[in-house]
Amino acid sequence: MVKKSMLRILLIDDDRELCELLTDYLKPEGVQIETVFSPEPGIERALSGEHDFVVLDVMLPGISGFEVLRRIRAKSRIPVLMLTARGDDVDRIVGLEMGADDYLPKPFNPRELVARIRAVGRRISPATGEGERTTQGRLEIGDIELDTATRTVRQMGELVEMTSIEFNLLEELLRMAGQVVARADLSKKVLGRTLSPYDRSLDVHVSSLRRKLGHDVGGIERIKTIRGIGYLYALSAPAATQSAEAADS
Amino acid sequence: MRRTLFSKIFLWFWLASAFIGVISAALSLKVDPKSISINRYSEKVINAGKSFIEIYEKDGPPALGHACDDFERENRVSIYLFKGSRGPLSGRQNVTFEGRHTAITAAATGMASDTPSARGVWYAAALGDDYTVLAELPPPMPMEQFFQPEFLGLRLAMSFIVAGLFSYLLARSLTRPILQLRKATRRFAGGALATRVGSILEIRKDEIADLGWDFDTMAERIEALVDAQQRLLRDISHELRSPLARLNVALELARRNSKENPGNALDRIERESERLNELISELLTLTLLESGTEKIEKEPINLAGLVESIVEDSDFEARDRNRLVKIVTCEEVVVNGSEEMLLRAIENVIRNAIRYTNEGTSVEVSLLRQEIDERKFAVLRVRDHGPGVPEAALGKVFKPFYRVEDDRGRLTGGTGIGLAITERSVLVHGGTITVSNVSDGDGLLVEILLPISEG
Repeated sequence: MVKKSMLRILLIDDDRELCELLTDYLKPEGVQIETVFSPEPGIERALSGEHDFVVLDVMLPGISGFEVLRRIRAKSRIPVLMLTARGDDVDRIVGLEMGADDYLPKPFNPRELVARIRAVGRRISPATGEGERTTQGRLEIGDIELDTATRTVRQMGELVEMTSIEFNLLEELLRMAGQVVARADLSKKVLGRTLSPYDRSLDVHVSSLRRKLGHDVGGIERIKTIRGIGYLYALSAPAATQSAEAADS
Repeated sequence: MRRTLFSKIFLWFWLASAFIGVISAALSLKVDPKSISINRYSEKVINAGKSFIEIYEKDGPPALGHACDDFERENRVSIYLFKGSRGPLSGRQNVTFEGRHTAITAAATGMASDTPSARGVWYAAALGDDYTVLAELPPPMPMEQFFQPEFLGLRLAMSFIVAGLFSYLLARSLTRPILQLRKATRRFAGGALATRVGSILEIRKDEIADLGWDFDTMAERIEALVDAQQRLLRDISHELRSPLARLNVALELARRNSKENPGNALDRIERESERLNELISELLTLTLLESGTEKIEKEPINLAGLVESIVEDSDFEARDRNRLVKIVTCEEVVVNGSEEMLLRAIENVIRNAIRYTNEGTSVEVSLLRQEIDERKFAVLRVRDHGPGVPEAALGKVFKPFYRVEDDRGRLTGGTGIGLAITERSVLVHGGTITVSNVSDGDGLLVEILLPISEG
């Protein structure tokens, strides 16, 4: 395994010149990039399992980016970053709700793109080892069982499908269960960036977690919003058994 | 009371037709004045006739003549008694041919009979035993013809009620479609460009219906124009962004390739491209706001917290340029609205104030609760210590790309759309925004009023 792992990225965007420029830019960053200009082959390639990450433009000829995302999500949990038009809040919220891991408004600074890719990419291959994120182990709180080695979540023994970001978010919340986690900290750890004041990305991810895991656990709110501060994962008193395997330092 | 078109039409038509009713009632009396006289005298004449029969049979014609004279003196009605075609039995001969004929007719038919006479009307009634009484009745006085006491009240009331009913229906049928048109116009003005009135006015086929159709035609055209403009702006923005996206990547590539000259110029290009991008976003935001089609999702917002955080952030930026932003007063206020829009709106005003306030001075922000006309408002005031704005230009500062001085904007940055966005956002929230120069000529005061939701 190389020290700087080669991230394999699939870029689906109909702007050929942009694709060329990005290929030139990303190559020295240790990123292997494959570009597809139209949606249908894009979906096919995304489902091939040969990539670690998909960058998907919302505006595509023929099929919209959302439809492409839906069809990828139907079969795969590969992390997807959507390129949206800036200022179009609806686009970005819809994208996140449909299971995109993050979004980047276009035009973007390519350094930002690399940062986003790395933020998500770091986690998708825990074995490639960059220290902090590789704490292996299981977390068990209430009815949820989270395994960081296999990156799976089970609720009462049942497997729950999650995107990469949702998994990371849940992991952070579970580690701090019973304590309030600040939005700023969460977004830095999970999305790898600071949120602008009206960025609702985190809230969308939290609400899809709520939807997938149920709003209540043992009669109390599972993930409580603390207005103006952040979120609190409920540590239901009797059922609370934090797995000892989760080593801390 | 407000003088609505409805009340005008209703009252005028009611008055007019009631008046017509009164006059025609009066005219109809004038056409048939003899009935007034007959109604008034017939009973008296018949009673007198019956007493004359007794007098005649007992005392003979001279006594009858006296009785007739007495009656005439008392009632100003000349009266005669006939028996069959003979008469007058008093022996006097001053009965005209018409009078005699009337009496004979009455005697022959056994019923009352009348004929117009030179002085009024001949009236004869059969009294039985072949007797007939004849009287020459005077016409009614002119005023009596107008105010016949028995039916006047009823007639007037009827004409008032009927006229009122019809006027009401008329006024309603005229003004109701106008009200509907007005409602539609207001909805349209409020941004619901799909508003049409065709279905409302479908049954009518008059000028108002034509107006409705014209409204629809106009609305269609405006909607198409606005749509086209928006689509164009969206397309332009999108098309501008693609080269910008490429520019950004190319820029980073250039930066990487020119290690020996990690230059100012590239930073400058990046900054300008960022500025261009910001301009495009703001332009898009403004178009969306102006079209009024962007639905805002309203939620309760802690305005005080929002203002505090904006002031904190902008103070941080302002300090770099040796200016301060500080809060003078900040009361707890909760308003309903879109946090993002309000944040942008307030931020734009404060940024603008920082841009114009003199070096070493501070921008003062205050947030208060105030009651105006029994409605509660959140009042946000942002005051700078800059040159202010010429009085004549105060109304224009919310126009996109308006600058008080041509060179100023470029020196101090800003896209020129910020305040226009602020104005639209405030209006969308049902609030108002005003600018004024501080009275001592030291700075500009921007005041935003936002309605506070109750409960």
